[in-house]
Amino acid sequence: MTCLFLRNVAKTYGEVVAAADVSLDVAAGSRTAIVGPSGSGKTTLLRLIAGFESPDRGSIILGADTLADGNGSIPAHRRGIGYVAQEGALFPHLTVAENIAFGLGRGDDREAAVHALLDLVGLPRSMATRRPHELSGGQQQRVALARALARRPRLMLLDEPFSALDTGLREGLRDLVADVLSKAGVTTLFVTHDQSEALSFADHVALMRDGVIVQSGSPEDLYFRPRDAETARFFGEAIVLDGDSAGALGALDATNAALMLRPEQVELSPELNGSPIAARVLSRTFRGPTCRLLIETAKVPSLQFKLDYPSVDAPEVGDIVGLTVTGKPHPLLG
Amino acid sequence: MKFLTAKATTAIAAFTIAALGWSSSAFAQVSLTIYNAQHETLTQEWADAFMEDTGIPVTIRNGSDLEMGNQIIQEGANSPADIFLTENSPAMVLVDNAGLFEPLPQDILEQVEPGFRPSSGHWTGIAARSTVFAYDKNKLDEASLPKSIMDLADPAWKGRWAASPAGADFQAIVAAMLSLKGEEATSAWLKAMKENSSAYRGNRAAMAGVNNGEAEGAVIYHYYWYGDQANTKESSGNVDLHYFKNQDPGAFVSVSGGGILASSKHKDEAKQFLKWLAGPKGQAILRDGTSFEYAVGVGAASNPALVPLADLDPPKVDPSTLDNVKVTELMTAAGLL
Amino acid sequence: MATAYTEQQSGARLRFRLRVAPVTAAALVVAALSLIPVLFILYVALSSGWDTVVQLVFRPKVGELIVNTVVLEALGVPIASVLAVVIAILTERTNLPGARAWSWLMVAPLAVPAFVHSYAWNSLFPQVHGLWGAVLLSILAYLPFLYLPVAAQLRRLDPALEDTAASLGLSPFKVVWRVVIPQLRLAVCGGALLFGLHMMAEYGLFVLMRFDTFATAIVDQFQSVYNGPAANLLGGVLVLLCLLMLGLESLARGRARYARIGSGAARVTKPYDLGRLRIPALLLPALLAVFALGVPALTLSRWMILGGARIWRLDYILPALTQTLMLAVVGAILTTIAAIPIAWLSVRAPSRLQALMEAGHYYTGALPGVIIALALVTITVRMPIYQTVATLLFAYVLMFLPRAVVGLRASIAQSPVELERAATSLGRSPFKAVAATTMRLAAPGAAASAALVALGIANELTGTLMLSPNGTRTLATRFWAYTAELDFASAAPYAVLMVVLSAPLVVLLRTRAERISS
Repeated sequence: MTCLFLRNVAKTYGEVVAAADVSLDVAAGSRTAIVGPSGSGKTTLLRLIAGFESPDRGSIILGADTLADGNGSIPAHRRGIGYVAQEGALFPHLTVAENIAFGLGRGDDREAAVHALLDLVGLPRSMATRRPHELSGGQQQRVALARALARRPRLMLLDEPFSALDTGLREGLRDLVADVLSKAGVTTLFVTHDQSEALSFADHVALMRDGVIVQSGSPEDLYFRPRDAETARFFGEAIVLDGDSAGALGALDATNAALMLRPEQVELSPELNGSPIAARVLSRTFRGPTCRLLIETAKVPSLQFKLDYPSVDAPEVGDIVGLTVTGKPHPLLG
Repeated sequence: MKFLTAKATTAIAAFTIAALGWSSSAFAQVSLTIYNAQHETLTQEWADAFMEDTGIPVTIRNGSDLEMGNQIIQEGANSPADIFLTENSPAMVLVDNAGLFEPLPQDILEQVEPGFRPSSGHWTGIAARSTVFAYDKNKLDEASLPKSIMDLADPAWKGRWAASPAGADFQAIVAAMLSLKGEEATSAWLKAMKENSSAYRGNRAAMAGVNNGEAEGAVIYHYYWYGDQANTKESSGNVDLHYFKNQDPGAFVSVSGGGILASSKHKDEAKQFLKWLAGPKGQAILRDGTSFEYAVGVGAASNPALVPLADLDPPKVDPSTLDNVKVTELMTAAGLL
Repeated sequence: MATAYTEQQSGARLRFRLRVAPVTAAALVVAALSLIPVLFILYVALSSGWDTVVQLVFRPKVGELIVNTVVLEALGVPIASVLAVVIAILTERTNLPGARAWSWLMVAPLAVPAFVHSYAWNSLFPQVHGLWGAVLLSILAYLPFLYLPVAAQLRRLDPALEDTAASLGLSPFKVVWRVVIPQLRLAVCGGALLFGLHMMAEYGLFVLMRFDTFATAIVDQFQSVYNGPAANLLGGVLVLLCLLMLGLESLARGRARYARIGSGAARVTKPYDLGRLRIPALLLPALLAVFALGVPALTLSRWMILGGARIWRLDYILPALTQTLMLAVVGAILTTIAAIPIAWLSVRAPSRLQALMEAGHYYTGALPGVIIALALVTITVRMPIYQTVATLLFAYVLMFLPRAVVGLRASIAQSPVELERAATSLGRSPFKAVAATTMRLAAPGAAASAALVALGIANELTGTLMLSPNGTRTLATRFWAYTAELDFASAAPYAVLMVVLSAPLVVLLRTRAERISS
């Protein structure tokens, strides 16, 4: 089991600072997501770890090996790190079997290994003779995964592994990949811009913004206890209370720090009976099982936020409703 | 970048139409069309001087002897050619045998030495050239030169000499050999040639090959050497000429011919041209110019640098007996073509 | 998950075929016209009688020619392919010093006509001749046909494939060998086909090399007997060899897919580090540049200096220049237009008929100009278009159709069919839809193909000699006439002008090179 350590890694391309000062610990056997908006530098980080680029400063250590530091860097082909590119990047001139066996040496029993890997990723063995262009997107990703796992790497890197797929397929594939990686027991680091993917797929999440890691921790940590408003908003709807709106939601400690509530912490009752907080429905969007309601609090009309409510008996526009807050609001630092 | 806009299409259409009409409407006035197999610069010199003298414009179409001869035959009565000029005689014979020449008036024929025109009077000679053996003067001396062109078939000459078998020039020499020595001897000689000689394309190339030491000698016409010597000498610095003489087939003097097509629509002007060509002015260009071919006009002197015609002792060959069809057949059979 | 045609799908296919019928018809017309040379040869063969055919075809000389051609191709094509791939990789994907400049120099030899290369070499190194001389000169003259598509393809490769291969444990050299080079297969095939076809049809270059090919033998026969059966039958054998080559290329392409799967990120790839080989690697492109550019430059300069001012006879040079320009421009446009139907069909609606028609478009590229000219002369000799520019242009179209088709095919393939469909759905008629979308997008690539055709026309020799109207002189025919008379000095300005005329075309080619890859 090996751990990955990044210490003060920096990389600049000409004018653009892709990574400013990144430090990260990846625990052995974990599934870590590096998540962030486009341009935050997460793909660069992945490429630095894979060895396709060298950092300008800082060091990258995997287990006992220093992959890169001020003195030099080990080239990608000697790092023993598995890499799955955004769209699989299967070699178009080879069959599926040849793709999977690509990294295997002469001596290994290639056919057996290929079959075992196909089984692992849930593809039929008959697929071995197909060509990549005959496969669907999801199948290609699975083959790419099998190919990377063939060499039993000590670390797996996945670059936006599910973003090229249809939404419907994504979740199914995500579960399967999670399963595969657990069975293989390999440390995984993946990059995504999709926050729900990060939260569901990873057991450790690092948020990157403008070339630095803003916060890292468990998914619950980042969701319920984000460091600042921008982080909070990245992971979902957030109700930020500060300044004027501090006391809007009833008996809350109005301190100087901004506070954050997740909408699911706010219970809505269609009638205003004894609910401590009054609010009005401004707009209502039917979304199937739930309606998204835009709520305006009575006390501080400038505080507006969105809540979901089961469509069956959702209030109408203009209705006065009552709000109850469950759980404690989380103070933000910035 | 717009592709096929209306403007572009119109422009292209206009261009194409103009191009199509180009050649047909080129000359509103009477002008002569010469199908020319002689060297382009020489004929151009002739044409320019003639145009200056008479004001009659001349258009030249260039090609090689037999190519143009056969083309004229194929064109038949539709041929746009008024005059046919060649480097050697076989092509003239070809066209003559097809009955396509206009018999020439006496005043043209009188201007040319009798040995340099056929008895039929259907065409005339306009210039002449001598067969020579161009040899590497560093490698061969007087004694080791071949006495007769027939010697070159000996195994002793294997790999030592060169020629340009595909050219009309050489084929004319073979035609003369055929006429003088008969089919069997010529056929045998040709087969030996395939073994013994290296093939170049063009007499210049053959001469240059001798110059570079690739061959010891080459069978070509004399004027290539003189032309190069007067120019940069880069293809003949090491080369000297050997004249076979003794009425050997290798001393064959080939006659360049000129004739008027019976289908010509400008016979009067054509006759004017040929008369001028065979006359003192046309022949003077041979004397003073850079072509170094022999003049054939009565009383016309050739370029003073050349070995005088009278000294060449060529074999007597009637130009109208030169049969190129047979020559091609024999050469194809020998694997030279 | 094999696809089976449902009734609905086969109905859709039929409707599709009907819709593209006008294009198919146009392509058929062009293909039928392209058949004229081969039909002519067949006619001659049939009218000569079997005995003559046997006598003229099954003789030692023809065997000699076949051996020569096969050996020439068997040596030239592989050597040129390897050279093109190695140098393209060096200039496009490594840290070779001055890579940009080298990539231009690699394309520049196209500006020098093949026979000028030959003359230049023969003048400086007369010992270079025979088979190896022929191979060397062919490579020097025609390597750009291979280099251009390969270099273009290299620039379009998906970097993710190479990264992945590296992560799978392959050293940079192995990555190039196992991942980069296999992806060049289509480009190499297309370029090699053009290269091979040109070698078969080339005349002027081999004349000085004293190497007999079908083209030289045909011209020899032609100059002796004009339209005799021997010349035409040799042409027939040549057509067969060409079809053989087309078949080989088709086999070599295989049925595998080589295009990038998915859109891929357009990332600039990191160049491979040559390490200690960085300076020695310069030797290869440098040597080629000296041979292909230095030698002609030296020879032409020498001739011009020797000639002085008298060689610049503007009253001859200017007409030749304008005539060459006009023929090249009009010819290129006509050829490109003629190539559009089959190019479009081969990308949007491939079928067996289309493949047959396409072969018809290609084989004429292997025929020496003589054969095509011969066929046209025979046919037109009693017609009013005899010896007019129309016939000459028609011959050019036949001769250079392959160049136009290959380039157009590639550039049409670049523009997605969805655009055409979108335009149709927005109310444009199918023809207008294609014109507005695909043709617009393919225009730069089409311009590049047209440039390639113009280049060929400007340097074309034997066909021009035979078919041009009386009084027409192009730069190429003037050059040839002067050199035949040993007057190299006078020939030099024409060669220089041919190079100058070709240079902008080569520039256009190079900048649009992305489009010309199979």
